[in-house]
Amino acid sequence: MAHPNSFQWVGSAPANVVWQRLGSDYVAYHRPSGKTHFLNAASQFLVAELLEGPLDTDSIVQAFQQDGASAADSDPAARSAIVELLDRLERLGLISRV
Amino acid sequence: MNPAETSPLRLLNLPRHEFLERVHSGIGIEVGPLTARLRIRCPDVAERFREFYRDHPVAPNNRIFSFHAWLDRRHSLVPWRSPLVRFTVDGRVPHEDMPASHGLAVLEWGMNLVIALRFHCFLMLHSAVVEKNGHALLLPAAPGFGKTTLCAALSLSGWRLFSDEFGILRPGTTDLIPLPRPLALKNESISVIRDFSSEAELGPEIEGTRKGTVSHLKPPTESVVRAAQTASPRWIVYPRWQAGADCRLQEIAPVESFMLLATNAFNYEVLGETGFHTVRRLIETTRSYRLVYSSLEEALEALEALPELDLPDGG
Repeated sequence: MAHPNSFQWVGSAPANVVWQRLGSDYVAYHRPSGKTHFLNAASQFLVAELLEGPLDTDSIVQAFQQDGASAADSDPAARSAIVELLDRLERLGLISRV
Repeated sequence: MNPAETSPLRLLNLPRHEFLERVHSGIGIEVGPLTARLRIRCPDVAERFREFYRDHPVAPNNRIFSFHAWLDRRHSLVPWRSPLVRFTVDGRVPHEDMPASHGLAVLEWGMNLVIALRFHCFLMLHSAVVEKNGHALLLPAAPGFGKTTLCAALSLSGWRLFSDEFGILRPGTTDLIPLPRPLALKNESISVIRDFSSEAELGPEIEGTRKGTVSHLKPPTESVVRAAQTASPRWIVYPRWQAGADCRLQEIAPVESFMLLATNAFNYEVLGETGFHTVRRLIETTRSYRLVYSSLEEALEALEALPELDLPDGG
């Protein structure tokens, strides 16, 4: 398995996903699969960061910490939850590795 | 309003003998945006059909029909078993034959099945829809949550019935399209609605169906006569009848409403991105609530007060 920092993550190409903000939440339509996804606060934050530009896993964890959303930098469980979330969003096609 | 005064020929305008003759070979009926050709060869069901659809326009036989449905009486191969009915749509039999005594319910459920599986030119939400003062109220719910009962009570209380089952709209638009048909009340709901209004025109109680005892409520005349008039959605209320519960109407987040609406729709995924944008627009132009209730009167009171919640200081 590749080291988490040997690659970067990026939000899926705009051509693949239609994002829609509804109130304070997001829904996403993934064109290749035809599936609709409902994003919770953590997922929204993560995807929004990655839509700005590519980040490696450490930078994402750091961004979470700066946002106050998680004590990820000092808490291995929180870091592992973020890594799990990245994997899940990748499986859904909402983010990808570059 | 007397439907006989309006231009289309309605079922009630046909003399009984002419109706019976035509329904035996196939009669065209306009049901909202659909035109069905129905052939009913079960005399008792034909008579009931005539009562419940008497305000619906009759379509000429040279039309192109949305679907052709037949209901035929069949004799059981087992001599001591009661007779059966067979529902056929466009030459295909979608399910096994049912007891003849369930005929009207079989016809109505068969039509529901055809509509839900066939008409993907519409986005079809699993929702009751009623309208008042030009504003449509959607009541999406899973079976058993009290959707039809609430819809029946609203349609007997000054709200215009669109449907107790289908919230339909053309993809890319948000206007809801009426599809007024008889409402299938089940079990305890039958006496609830009978007690609720003396104007409720209920059919016979059909016992032992796969959904228990069923009785059909005739759609109000005005709802059928105005079936061509669409309405803009304003509220989406997810009802849930719960024994002994205090009536609670609580606003929910748009994203939660989106999820509930899309997952309850008949063909959201079939329509792909068009379905996504249609639901999105629907959510953006409405406010969504959850309604938990045990008293029908209290639920109606809460729904009548919805316009007040739209005021800036409401809610």
